[in-house]
Amino acid sequence: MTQKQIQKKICLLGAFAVGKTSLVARFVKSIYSDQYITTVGVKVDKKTINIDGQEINLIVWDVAGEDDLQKVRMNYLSGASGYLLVADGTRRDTLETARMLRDRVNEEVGALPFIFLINKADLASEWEIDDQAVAECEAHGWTVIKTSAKTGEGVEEAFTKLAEKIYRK
Amino acid sequence: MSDSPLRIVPNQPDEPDQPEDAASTEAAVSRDEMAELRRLLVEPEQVQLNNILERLNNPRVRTREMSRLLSEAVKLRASQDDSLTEALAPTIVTSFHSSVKKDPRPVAEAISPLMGPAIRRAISAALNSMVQTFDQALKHSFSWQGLKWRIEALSAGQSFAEVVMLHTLLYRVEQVFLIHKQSGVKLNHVAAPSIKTQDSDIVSGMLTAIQEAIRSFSFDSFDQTQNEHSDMLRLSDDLEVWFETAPQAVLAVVVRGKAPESLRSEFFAPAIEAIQYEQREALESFDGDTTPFELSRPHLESCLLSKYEGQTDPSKFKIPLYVKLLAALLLAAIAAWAFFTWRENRRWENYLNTLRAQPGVIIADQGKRDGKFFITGFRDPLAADPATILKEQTPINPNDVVSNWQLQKSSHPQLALANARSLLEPPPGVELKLDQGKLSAEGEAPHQWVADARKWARAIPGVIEFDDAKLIDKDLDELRRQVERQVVRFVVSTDQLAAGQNQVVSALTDQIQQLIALAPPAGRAVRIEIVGHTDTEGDENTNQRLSDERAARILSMITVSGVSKDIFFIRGAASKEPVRPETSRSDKEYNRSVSFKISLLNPSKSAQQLPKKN
Ligand SMILES: Nc1nc2c(ncn2[C@@H]2O[C@H](COP(=O)(O)OP(=O)(O)OP(=O)(O)O)[C@@H](O)[C@H]2O)c(=O)[nH]1
Ligand SMILES: [Mg+2]
Repeated sequence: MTQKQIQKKICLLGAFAVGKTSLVARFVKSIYSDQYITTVGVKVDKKTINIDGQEINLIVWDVAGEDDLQKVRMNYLSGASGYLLVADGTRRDTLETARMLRDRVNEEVGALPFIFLINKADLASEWEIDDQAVAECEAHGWTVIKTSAKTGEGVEEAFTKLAEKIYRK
Repeated sequence: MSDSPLRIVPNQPDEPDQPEDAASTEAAVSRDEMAELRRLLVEPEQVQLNNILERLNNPRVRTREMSRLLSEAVKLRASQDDSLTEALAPTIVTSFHSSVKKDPRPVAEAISPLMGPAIRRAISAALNSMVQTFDQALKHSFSWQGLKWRIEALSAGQSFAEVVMLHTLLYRVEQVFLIHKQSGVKLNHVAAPSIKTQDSDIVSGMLTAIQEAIRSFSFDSFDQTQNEHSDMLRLSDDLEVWFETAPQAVLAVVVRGKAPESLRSEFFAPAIEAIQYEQREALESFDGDTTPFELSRPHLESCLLSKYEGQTDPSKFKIPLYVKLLAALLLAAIAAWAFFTWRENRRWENYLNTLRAQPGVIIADQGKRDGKFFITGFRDPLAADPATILKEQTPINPNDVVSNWQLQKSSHPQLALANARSLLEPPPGVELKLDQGKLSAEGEAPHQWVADARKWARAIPGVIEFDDAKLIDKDLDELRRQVERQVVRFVVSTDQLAAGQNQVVSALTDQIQQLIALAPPAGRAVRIEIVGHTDTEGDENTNQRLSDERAARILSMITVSGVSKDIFFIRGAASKEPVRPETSRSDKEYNRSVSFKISLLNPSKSAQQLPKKN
């Protein structure tokens, strides 16, 4: 018999322009662009990864970012096994948005495995989120990974860690 | 001053000549008159001038004026070149940005009707790039219509298959997705043959997302005009996705063309209901493992329906007339072919029989190969020529026959014996000898071999005569022994059969008939002696008569079924040849009987070997 097929849906949540779409593009297609094309609604993508010898199809839902104009629609999270919560290291307010989004997920969908990504690590000099803020998050039990969709730093690790959390739970 | 108007004419020639005093009064008068004159002459222009000044100095009036011209001016300029657009763009972009910053709601409201169509376009593009090549194209390849479409395809830069499809497709279900309702994860997916599919995992997710979007938008801004509801998604003029929803699974059916709504109730709804029913547990406990949903494939495939022009509903599919005609033609062709083959084989068989009857002609091998008859063999130079027989005595076309005849007169004895062995393939237990053209076979062999050997032996080059005197036909001999082992018993002192002996006689009759049939091909003639017996009781004369009667009785019973009397001899042996030595009562019973003796004779020698009639 062929190996069984495992499909896991995950979502990317975060404020607008933090780099969610760029992270997916880096992870799935290994490409990056400086252009900002805001996501409308949701975009679905897929990548197969291997955890403990089991092939897992990650179905990645890249959800439009949260902004004044539009709240993240929680029904996109329906049936998801976990999510990546993304903030932009150069914008302090995106950390607040992330916290708020996590609370909303817990309220409306229920607690799910997640990993907190602070993106744009390549712009370290412009960062507004300092180590103290990061430590605070970790103190709450969050797994925090600094990523850069531009250089690829931490991206693979972030998706794999989430998949492991889901698969080994 | 009645005259004044006439006198104060400007540029009057005498005016400078008037005295000073008079002149001053006169001047005052004339100043008034001048103003009056000017007023009369210039007033219309003055009003106009004042108006212009006012228009120039009052911005409100100027704006009103401009507003009348602006749109015309923009149109005029835009029709000339792009400079206006270039000039305006930065301002517009900046103002758009600042406007969104101040209050994003109006913009949001403005663009949300576009979002539905935008997502729809994205899905449509994903589904549309599945290339369509299919057998419809074949059917139309050779028709006049096909030619026209080929030209159309060339000029439109489309594939021929695409063009044919566009012209003949009524509807076709191209893909069917089974989607986990909650997560949008694809559980299974099937596509019509020749549909190249995009990544169905991603499409599944997108379909779920847009279904979600339709649901939440449908009450505000999502393209009301198209009458969207969450169970159907129109992607383009001829591409739709139909959703059938069960409690835990969704069936998404991608339909090209105009499919009748009845497909839903006839095919799609039953399919998803069956899946939901059969796989409820797997659906409830779904945690990413899609293997169990392979089971749903037959249900999904039952939804891959299509209908092309000239084809009726899949449910009421009828065989088109031309297919029926073709089938009839085909049947007729097969019948004709069968008849001709049969006749040909008959003719061939007749030819072979004619050849077999020819002295000096031996057929070694024959048959049919590559649609032609072939025949190989040997013939004596003096014998009739098989080729001539073929040409003159049969309706067979000589060109359809490959003949290979070897002239053969005699052969070296060693070679002949070797030939005989390889040709006859004697079974173990049979020995072949060749002496001066006489091939003799000795030993036991099955009936078939004996019969074949007798038929072929003399055809072997170098063999003149076949001696089978010492050749025993095993099957024939076995039959002989079977018959000889049996006796038919009688009631004491009569020629009445004992109880149950009728069956013995009828079994014997069967065996004797077999003997008679097998003997001639084995080169034997059957002679059967029926011998009557009595026990030792009673006087010798009575016993002799009784044994005669018993033998005669059996003869008449056997020959009543049509067996020739000529091969039988009857004899009464009285008590002189007991079947068993008489030591018990049952021995006596067996001696009140008839027994058989069978000779298998070589017909040529049978005359001398015939037993004498008593
Ligand atoms: N320097 C740098 N720029 C990044 C990085 N990731 C994303 N960007 C840029 O940030 C901008 C926004 O990226 P997106 O990936 O479109 O952001 P998003 O979160 O998908 O935004 P929405 O879809 O509007 O919610 C783009 O111009 C990206 O090029 C990064 O790691 N480093
Ligand atoms: Mg995006």
